[in-house]
Amino acid sequence: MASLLVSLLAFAAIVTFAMSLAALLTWMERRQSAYAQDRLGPTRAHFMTFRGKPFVLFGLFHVLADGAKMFFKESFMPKGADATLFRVAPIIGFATSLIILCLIPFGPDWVTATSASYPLQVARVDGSMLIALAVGSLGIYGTALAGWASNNRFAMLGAMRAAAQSVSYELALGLTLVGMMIATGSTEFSAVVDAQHGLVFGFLPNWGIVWQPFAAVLFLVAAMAETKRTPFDLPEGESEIIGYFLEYSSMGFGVFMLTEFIEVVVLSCLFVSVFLGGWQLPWFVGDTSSGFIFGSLFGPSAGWARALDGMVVFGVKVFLMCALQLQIRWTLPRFRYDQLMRLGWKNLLPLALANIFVTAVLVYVDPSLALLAIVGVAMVVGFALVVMAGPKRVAQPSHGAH
Amino acid sequence: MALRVRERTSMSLYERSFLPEVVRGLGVTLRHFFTNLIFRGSWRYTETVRYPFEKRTYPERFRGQHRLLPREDGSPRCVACYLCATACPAYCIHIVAGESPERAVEKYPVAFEIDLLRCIYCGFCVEACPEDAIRMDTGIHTPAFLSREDGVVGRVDLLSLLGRPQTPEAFGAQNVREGKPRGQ
Amino acid sequence: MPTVTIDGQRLEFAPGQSIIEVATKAGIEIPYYCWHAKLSVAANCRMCLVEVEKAPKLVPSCQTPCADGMVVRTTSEKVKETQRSVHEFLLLNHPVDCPICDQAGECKLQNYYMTVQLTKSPMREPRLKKHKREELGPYVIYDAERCIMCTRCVRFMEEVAKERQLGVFQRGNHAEIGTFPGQPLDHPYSLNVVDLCPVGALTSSVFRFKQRVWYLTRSPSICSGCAKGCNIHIDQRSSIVYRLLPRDNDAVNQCWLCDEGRLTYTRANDARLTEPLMREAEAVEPLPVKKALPAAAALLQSAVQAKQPVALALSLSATCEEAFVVGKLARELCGATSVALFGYAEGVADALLKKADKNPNRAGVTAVLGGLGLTVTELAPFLKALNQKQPAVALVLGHELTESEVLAKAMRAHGNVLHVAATRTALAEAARVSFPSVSFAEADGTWISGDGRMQRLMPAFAPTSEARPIHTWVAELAQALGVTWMLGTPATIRAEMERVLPAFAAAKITHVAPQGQPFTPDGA
Repeated sequence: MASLLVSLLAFAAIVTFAMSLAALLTWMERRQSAYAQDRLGPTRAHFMTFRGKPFVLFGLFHVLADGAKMFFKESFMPKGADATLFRVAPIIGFATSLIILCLIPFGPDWVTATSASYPLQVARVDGSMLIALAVGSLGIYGTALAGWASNNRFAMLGAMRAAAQSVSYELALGLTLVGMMIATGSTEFSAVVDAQHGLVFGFLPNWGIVWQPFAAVLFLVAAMAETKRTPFDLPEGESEIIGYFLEYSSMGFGVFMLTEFIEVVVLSCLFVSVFLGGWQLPWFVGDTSSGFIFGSLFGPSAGWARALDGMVVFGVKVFLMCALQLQIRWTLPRFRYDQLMRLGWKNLLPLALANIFVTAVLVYVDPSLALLAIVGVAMVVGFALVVMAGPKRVAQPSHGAH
Repeated sequence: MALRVRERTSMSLYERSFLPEVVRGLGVTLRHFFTNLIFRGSWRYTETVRYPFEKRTYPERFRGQHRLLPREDGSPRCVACYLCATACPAYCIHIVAGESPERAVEKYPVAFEIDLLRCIYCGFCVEACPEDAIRMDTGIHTPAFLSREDGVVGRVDLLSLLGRPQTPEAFGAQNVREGKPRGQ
Repeated sequence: MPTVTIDGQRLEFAPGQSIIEVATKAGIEIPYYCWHAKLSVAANCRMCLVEVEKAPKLVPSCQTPCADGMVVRTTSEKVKETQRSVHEFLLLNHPVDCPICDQAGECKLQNYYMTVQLTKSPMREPRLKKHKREELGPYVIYDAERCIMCTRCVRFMEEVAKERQLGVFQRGNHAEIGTFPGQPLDHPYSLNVVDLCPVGALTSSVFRFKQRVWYLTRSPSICSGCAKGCNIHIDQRSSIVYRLLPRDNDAVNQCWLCDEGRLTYTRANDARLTEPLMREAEAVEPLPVKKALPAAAALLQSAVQAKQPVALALSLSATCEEAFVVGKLARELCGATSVALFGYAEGVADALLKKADKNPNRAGVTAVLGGLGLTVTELAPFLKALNQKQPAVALVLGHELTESEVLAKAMRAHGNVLHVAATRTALAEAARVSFPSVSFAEADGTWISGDGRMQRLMPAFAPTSEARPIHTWVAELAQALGVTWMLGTPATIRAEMERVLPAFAAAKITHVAPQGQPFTPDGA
């Protein structure tokens, strides 16, 4: 009974976290892109003045204004649309994203004074990584049905693109995780997170990204393709086909938009759990830790302090990953369709397969994973050298420069 | 016209691997992001003018709403030659010519209407006018209209507008923020 | 044949032909103002000066007859320099008031300035002030400042109109065209001088300031003014006809057109019937086609089914195609043996172009209906029958007649008359149902002139309203009565006419062009 209660509380916690972060991301998307593009971003929405100036709070009220706008817009359904599927479609993508969230451990087990242990994870089930992949691939039903049920050829086109893209990249997404499964010997998220405790070489965090930097990059690419955001936003393609949600207005569209941002959060959660040590932070939070904020205040031995520290670390990591994704989204232009397919099938897939074999061999040779870590660090250093030694280019005059 | 063939340069392996280029691109956007996030004032790249509250000085040749120039007796200089209507790419000028027996120039515009909703403010009409009868030197932006009919400005209204004096204030400048060269 | 070499081309010529005639025919352009193929040679503009080998000076090519072996150069430096100088001279006192000049856009001064002159005016003195806006007659306005004294207008009045109403007055710089005291330019062909004027000196008070010429779209057509069938151009913009101009056809009107014919352009614009009308008691209401057509068809059907007589009257301005379909309706559905014809009253003929018969297609309508085995009658028996209520239903197709009030009265008294017309006249108000028809400018059809010339009417623009040709409305009515003729377009009607009517097959009506070809009713 108590464990059910904890599960419900954990669910409430992670969903609240994801939803509020998604809402925040709508603001971050604007503000971050604005600053990256030398603009100011949202500066207008306010309902009061402060010292004679409108109190805009960095434009945060735009989130509220957006929500209010979405709610009060006319909910429109085109003639000939399939009413049921048209309404259900947005929910599907939204629900699948939340289900994946339930599998993520967002903190260490909460050990109470009576030594009862409650996992900070809604569902600790065997093979949760596989379940996450399986459920994640169901999300495409939302977009495909939205496109089909809209009775609009552009929406349909967007849905087709989304389906094709999703199928192409799911493969690579799953395969990039296999390396970590081999290295940690588990397909369960909390076990994978636990396996990333401690240090490697005495100074590097013992995180998945150190053993598997290449897989981490491939995973990030494939996962970004799954979220269907720039540079993989062909299903939307707002400049030419608008996309699968073309006919949606009001909260129907709002749910799609929210889902998009929740997917960003989910992806960040997955990445943090698999490659960035989850809630752990060497020297502070983890088995050998001295405690972080709460731990240093109230002593690391207190179970609740450790749990809270873990959650804070997890949250910060997820936030930073989200910020990175936004930055990538505002840096790269959209792929052409053939480039998208070529990247998925001809680059990511073979590379992911190669990664599996190399990882398997290295783990077989040295089960202590030291060799894997050495190779991983060498790859990162090599890549850094390549970038630094890369071809120097003459700065080309940009448009409008004078 | 000579046919220009532009060779499509194939990308090197370094470029095709995307990653270094992506990192480079991220470097650029992150530099701008953090510069704009951390610094204030002239250190920023941002040059946004908060338009309704700040306005820049318009260039001297800013094309605002049109006006018709009068003769000394107050009648329009326009002789209804239709050259502005002919030059207009938006077909927004409608003229009806009439004959006036009492005036020195026998042709005059009975109606001269400009549909400001159609006008693209290209200034071709000013270029085309052989009589210097139409100018776009009022410095007035297209106002907002509540109906399409309001967007059609007639002869009398066009004649009543004045050109603006050649001072920055007259160009609508307030809270003028001088621009700085790009890219510092 | 003797030959002459112009700009290196060896060209054959008939004795007596001038250099400019031979050159123009061969496509070599020599600029000219005063020369006109149908007028005598004045050689006073000096624009057409060309270099002839062994001639000491440049010669005017309009005046110089070709001689065998003559070598002419029209593009040598000397010729070009002369053209430039002559043009400079012609423009010396020109006011350059192109913005208010109706000729702008089709002005030879503008064109030749661009092709041969392109220099600034050397004039230092104030330009000469002359008469502007002088009304020479009811239709022609003269601007002396623009005039280059080519005297084409004077020669036209003397040689073609045969009435010397214009003359040159004063001398030198001060010379200008004028009328004689108490004798305005009121000749019935006076507007031709406006066409002839190569500059903007003579303008038409009818067309003046109505439209700039570069907006006008030109298409070939036939004048509807009388049975002569003069070839015309329709100048229209946005489906409004602004003027009619003569079109060259040496077999009919050469290059002239009477004032009366020119003014018929209003028939395409004024008081057009744009949608079907229906008369209930005294109220005449517009009606959508969807409702008007079944109403008319029901009326006609009741008469046809009851084997009651149906009378038809057709305008003499209808095209042959329209007459053919009306004839089919009369014979095959109405069981009529005759069709009444009506038209404009007889006018006055003259020696040049005008015919007394003011209806453009009397010959055609008569030939078609006769070919279909119908007798044609005057309007009087039709009126009588209407007044006696003999036919249960009557059709009046067309509105082109002089005494329309009499017919309108009879139609109103009868009550069950269907009407198709381009113009909303008293007839449209009097009919039970009226359908809008096309004007001559929108019509695609064939007219046969009083001189037995079959000429094609080309549509200048598509109707902007519900207007359809008479044959379309008749075919629609027949369709509603259960008969499908497959005569939807004028082309299919013409093909059917060739099949059915030997005279039209012999004249090849499917091949007839706006230029026209001879037609004989017996097919010879």
